[in-house]
Amino acid sequence: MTAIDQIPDLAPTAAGTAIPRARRMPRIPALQIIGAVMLVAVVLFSFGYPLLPAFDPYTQHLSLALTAPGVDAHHLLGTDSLGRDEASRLALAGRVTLGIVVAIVVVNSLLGMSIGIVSGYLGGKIDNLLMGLADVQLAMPVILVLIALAAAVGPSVWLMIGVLAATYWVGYARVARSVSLGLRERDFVLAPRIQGASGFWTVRRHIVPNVSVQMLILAVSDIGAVILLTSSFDFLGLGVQAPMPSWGLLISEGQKYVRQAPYLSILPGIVIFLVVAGLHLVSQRFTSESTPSRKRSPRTTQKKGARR
Amino acid sequence: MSDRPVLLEVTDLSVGYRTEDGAVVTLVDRVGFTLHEREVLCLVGESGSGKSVTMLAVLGLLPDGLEILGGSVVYRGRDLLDLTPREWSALRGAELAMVFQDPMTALNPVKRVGSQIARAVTAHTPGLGRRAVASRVETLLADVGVPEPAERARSYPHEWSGGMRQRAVIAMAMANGPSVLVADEPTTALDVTIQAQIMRVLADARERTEAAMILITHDLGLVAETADRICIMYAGRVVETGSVWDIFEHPTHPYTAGLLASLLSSEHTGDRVYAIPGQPPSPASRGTGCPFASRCELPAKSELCLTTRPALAPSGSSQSSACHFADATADFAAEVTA
Amino acid sequence: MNDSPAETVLAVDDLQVHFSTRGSRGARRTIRAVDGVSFALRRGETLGLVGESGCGKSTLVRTIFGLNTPVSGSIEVLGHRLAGLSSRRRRAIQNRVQLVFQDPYSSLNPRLTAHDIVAEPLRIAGRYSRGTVASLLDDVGLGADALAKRPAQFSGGQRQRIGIARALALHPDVLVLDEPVSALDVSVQAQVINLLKDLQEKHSLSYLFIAHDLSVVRYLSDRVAVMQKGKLVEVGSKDQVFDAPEHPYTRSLLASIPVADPRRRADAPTQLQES
Repeated sequence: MTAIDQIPDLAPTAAGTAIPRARRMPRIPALQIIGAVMLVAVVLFSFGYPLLPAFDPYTQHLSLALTAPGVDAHHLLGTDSLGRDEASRLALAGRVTLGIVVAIVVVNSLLGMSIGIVSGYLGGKIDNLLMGLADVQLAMPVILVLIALAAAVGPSVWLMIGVLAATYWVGYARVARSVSLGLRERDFVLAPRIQGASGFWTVRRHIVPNVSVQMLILAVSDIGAVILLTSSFDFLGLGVQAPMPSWGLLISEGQKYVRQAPYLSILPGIVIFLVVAGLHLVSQRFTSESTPSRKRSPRTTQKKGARR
Repeated sequence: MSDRPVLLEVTDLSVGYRTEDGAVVTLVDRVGFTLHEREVLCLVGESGSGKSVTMLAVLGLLPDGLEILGGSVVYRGRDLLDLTPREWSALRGAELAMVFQDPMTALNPVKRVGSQIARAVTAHTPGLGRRAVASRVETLLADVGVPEPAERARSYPHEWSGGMRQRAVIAMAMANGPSVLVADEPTTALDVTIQAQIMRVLADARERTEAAMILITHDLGLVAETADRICIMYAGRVVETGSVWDIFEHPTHPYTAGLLASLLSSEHTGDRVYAIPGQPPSPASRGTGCPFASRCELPAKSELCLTTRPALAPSGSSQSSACHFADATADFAAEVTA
Repeated sequence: MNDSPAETVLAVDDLQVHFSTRGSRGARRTIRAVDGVSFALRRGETLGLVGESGCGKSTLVRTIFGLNTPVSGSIEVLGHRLAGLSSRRRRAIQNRVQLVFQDPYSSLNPRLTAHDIVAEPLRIAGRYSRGTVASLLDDVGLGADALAKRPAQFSGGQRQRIGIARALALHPDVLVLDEPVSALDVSVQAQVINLLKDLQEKHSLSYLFIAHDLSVVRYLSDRVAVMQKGKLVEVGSKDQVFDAPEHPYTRSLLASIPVADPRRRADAPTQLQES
């Protein structure tokens, strides 16, 4: 199966065995609802909590340092080693982490989509060049590059975003390339070419809409991976820098007090788990929808170009 | 033909699927036909007419989601719809064999052609020696006109041309001397000259093994050249059935008459050809009346056609037609062919 | 065809299109997909081009539309040699020839409405108006209710009508019909063939009709060209090619078409054979 077959609308609909589309609409399984609830809970907390008066991520109450969750009514999730409100820090960390991750994924998917479409649509030497570049990117050890650059210019959020944005597009580019390569020779793309449309016209009207669906599916399933990746970098001190919190950084800070105050590491761990697992469960819906149903008999999908 | 013993009898077979909200959509609606020994029966219809689904149901190969809603399929006195999967695999390939439209889907691309045919042989004749199997494979390939069969057997499907692959599939189908060969559009994907060769190979194979054949096709030219009897299907129903001679000579259903009139034969050149108006109805919108009523141009057509489904009734010496006005079709046929 | 020598609208002269491939042992091999093809299509005429898969007819079509570059030879449209024109002028001339695709399922973008599909060439050329689109669809027998529907809501025959409307949008002189009915149901093929006949008369179109179905070619064509292995092995009037074929390949093609008349069978009952 090439990626092109995964675009639901483009699957050859030979009328031979007419099994209508409507019947194939999957119901939303319970797992996906659970995933969505997990995801929504974290997002609501991260973006809703800062609107409440209790939100105060920076003020230090040294006398209340390392208060366990549920002990102090003002700090329901406890406080950290400097007596800062843990709930506020978690919420702010969520905004920071999610913001960074979405920025990275958006930049990557747009970059990957553009490179992939140019590569697949133009083909030839440009394709070889761009895909060669992609192979080089894949071979590059991102963590080592980031460590080296952080050592040279000092670690910062922007450096991490920059390095990930410059390297993480390869997956998107590959998919975008194979989809546009397949589309390029499809009759409905040849039609405007024959009728005098410019390459830009054809790409904008016929390639981009079909590729972007794939990009969206890929991006949704990628967010979880990028959260884990940036959190690891934060944990290693290569990403977000204190006093600004991020989930990875909170785990890293909590690690020093893992015996007295295990909740400092556990709480952000739980939040990361909720988002990543939630995203995974939700994205299964996309992937299962975009994969052609196995239920159709093999011969009905083989009729393309057949003489009828 | 019909004096020969009956091999396969399909009665009132209905196939459909359930929608999400529990409604049943019928794809094949009370279809029945009889196949006699050594006979060629052609199932004719356009896409969506239910001809392929009918045969998949008969062979127990319905895809998931489709179910048999009623009827019976009796092969040599056994109802095939009651068979267990184990009984099916003993029967299919041995007594009922199939040839499909695309030979590539029937052949495993990573296995040598010879070993795939050998597998078909040993599946139903276990305990055959290595040598014996190899020589059987060679004979089978030679029988379908594959040159240098011993060598070709060692190559992979992708090294074969489309026509050669279809020959290999026919060799595989013939491996156990089946009594019924089902060929679903076996030449649709092939060029005309190759098509002619494959039809000859099929005819020779039947001659040798005395197998009966059900040929599923939309090509009336092929039908005219190969069929003994014809079943014309439209919108999931059999609308007309009879001997090839009678149906081509005097069709008794307006759909058949329209199809024959719209054929571009050497006789019409220049003038407009008759075209059946409209489109076939979708399975969900077939209504209670005659499914062809909306496209029918029979002058005798009446209110009855829209409300009551015509049953298949004798309309000639060998023919049956599912039309309320089968008697009036002859004049219509003459008019549209002119 | 009238007697006066009609204007030549499309002329292909000694066209050569080659591809080079690497063989299994790395040796370069040149495939002559189109090998010295010449023909002239006159106004209002239908030239049937017959050949089996791999004979080079699709390469020929692609080359006519500039998707392949010929090694040598020329393509002239309305007397203008395409290769010698400036790109702007070439576009205008090239648009006089339009293509109708074989497969109505893959030739329409499933995401667009019928209106957007037919409007596209008009928009590219900067001549769009909603009324034009509606009248084009009307021309091919589709009503105003078709405008907002997407390809999935149409049957194969209706989709092919949309494809024809799209090809007619820029008022071409020539339609290249690449197996336009072979993907359609039998009962619908005749409708589309009648439509093509009507349109030809109405717009005085010339057709290059490509098919492997000889009965359709015989019905529609004035002249017939038979292509084999990149070459035209026989070109002649319809009657000449069908009734007195000269080339052995033509003869074998003709012998292979199934005849939809059981009376011609060897095993036909004798009383039928006589009638």
